Amino acid sequence: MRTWFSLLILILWLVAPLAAQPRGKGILPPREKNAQALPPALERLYNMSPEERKRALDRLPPRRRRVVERQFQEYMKLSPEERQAVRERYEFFQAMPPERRERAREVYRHFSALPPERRQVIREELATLRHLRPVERREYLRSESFAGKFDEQERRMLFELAEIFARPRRP
Amino acid sequence: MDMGVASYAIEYDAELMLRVKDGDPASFGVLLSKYRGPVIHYLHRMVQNRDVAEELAQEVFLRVYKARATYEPAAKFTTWLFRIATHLALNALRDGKPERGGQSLDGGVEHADGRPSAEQQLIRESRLDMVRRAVAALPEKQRAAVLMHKYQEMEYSQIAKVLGCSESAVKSLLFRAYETLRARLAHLA
Amino acid sequence: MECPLEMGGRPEILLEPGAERHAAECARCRDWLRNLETTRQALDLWQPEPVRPGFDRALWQRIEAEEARRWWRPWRPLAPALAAAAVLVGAVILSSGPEPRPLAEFAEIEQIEQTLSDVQMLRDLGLTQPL
Ligand SMILES: [Zn+2]
Repeated sequence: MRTWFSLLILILWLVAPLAAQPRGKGILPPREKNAQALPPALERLYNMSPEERKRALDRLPPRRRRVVERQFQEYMKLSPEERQAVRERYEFFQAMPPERRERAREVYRHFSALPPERRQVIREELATLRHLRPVERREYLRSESFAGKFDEQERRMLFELAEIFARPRRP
Repeated sequence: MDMGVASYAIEYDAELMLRVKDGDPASFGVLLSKYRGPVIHYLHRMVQNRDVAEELAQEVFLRVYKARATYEPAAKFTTWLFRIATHLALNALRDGKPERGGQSLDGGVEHADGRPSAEQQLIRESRLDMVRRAVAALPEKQRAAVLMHKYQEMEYSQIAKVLGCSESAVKSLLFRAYETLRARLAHLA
Repeated sequence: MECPLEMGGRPEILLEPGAERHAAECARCRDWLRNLETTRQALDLWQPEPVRPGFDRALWQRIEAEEARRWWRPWRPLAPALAAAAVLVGAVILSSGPEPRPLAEFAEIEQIEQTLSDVQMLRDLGLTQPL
């Protein structure tokens, strides 16, 4: 019994300074009260203590770690309304069949490699295409005005993105 | 532009699972984040109760994790995953689990793409309710087949492997299921 | 091809890829396929609900509990001796090296990374503009 007790004291003595350490300043935004509208995984990052965050982030190689930090900071800078919109869209995405999500990511990798002005044109075109009914969309994609604006790779990209992210039809 | 992503995705899942087998829990986390949604939604539509669905989904992933040591990438990972999910759902239905939970055919958060008026919302909800009831009224195996075919976009061959029957049996299940649904939902068109 | 909807036919053939060719010249099957499309569209009304937060955490807890139980079972008779040894080892680790990371943490950061990159994609494609 006495051995147990001394061991316990030893442990407490070792642990106490660790627990009392002041919380280091994280690179990520501090925790605030208003954490709603975060997808679950981001909510977990948000709710971590600075030590937990550092430990989790240390798991990643430096380059990926910097990307995560930058993207999270950008996300937290959004207004609550914007964050809500992102969360809703993300939930739709999350609910898609896994193969389709993987396909979206693959097409997006090609999209990211395009110059900014082409990305902007494609973004605008995608917004239009998503609002068309499937039949109209296919017709439009076959039209000459469409063919004139985009090269082969961009056309396929738009075709796929529009199929994947078509707006659900209202009843 | 590379178009062979589907096969890439399949191999990738199996590879992740093999890494889990080698003692890498992070890979299990990737599989979990990829499939937790589809599995929960499938189970929810199957047992028509959200709490029971999440409880069953926990059991599905727990079983996958526990079986990692014996995992062999003989079949597609999703086939294996949905076979476990279907097995648990059928057992739960047989045990009358959703009814015990109280609120069968539960409603839930609607997240439509815009902000519909109250009246539109009501109409929408009553139509949704009809769809839920029509699906719930299908015999269990037909229901499972339709859910995998319609919402998971699975091929006949894969559904057959999940349900442990032939492809033609799956088509026959689907034909009967769609016939019943059509009769019940015709007025929604 | 004989009409699958005739008596004694195999109607499920209508779900096969070749069905359109027959439907092009058979009004009854054309009708059936059109109805199938409408039925499938009606099913689109049932969109999934978001997964509730805490799902993963609960699962990882169950996995850890399970692992601990499995690991523990054969050692139970040696409990007191093992506990003392574990405490000593724990003390040494705490005073010298980094603390051991729980299982869940390994997986967490990769999920977070994936979520952020998906969110980035959705924003970059202009899909998250409030309507
Ligand atoms: Zn016919």
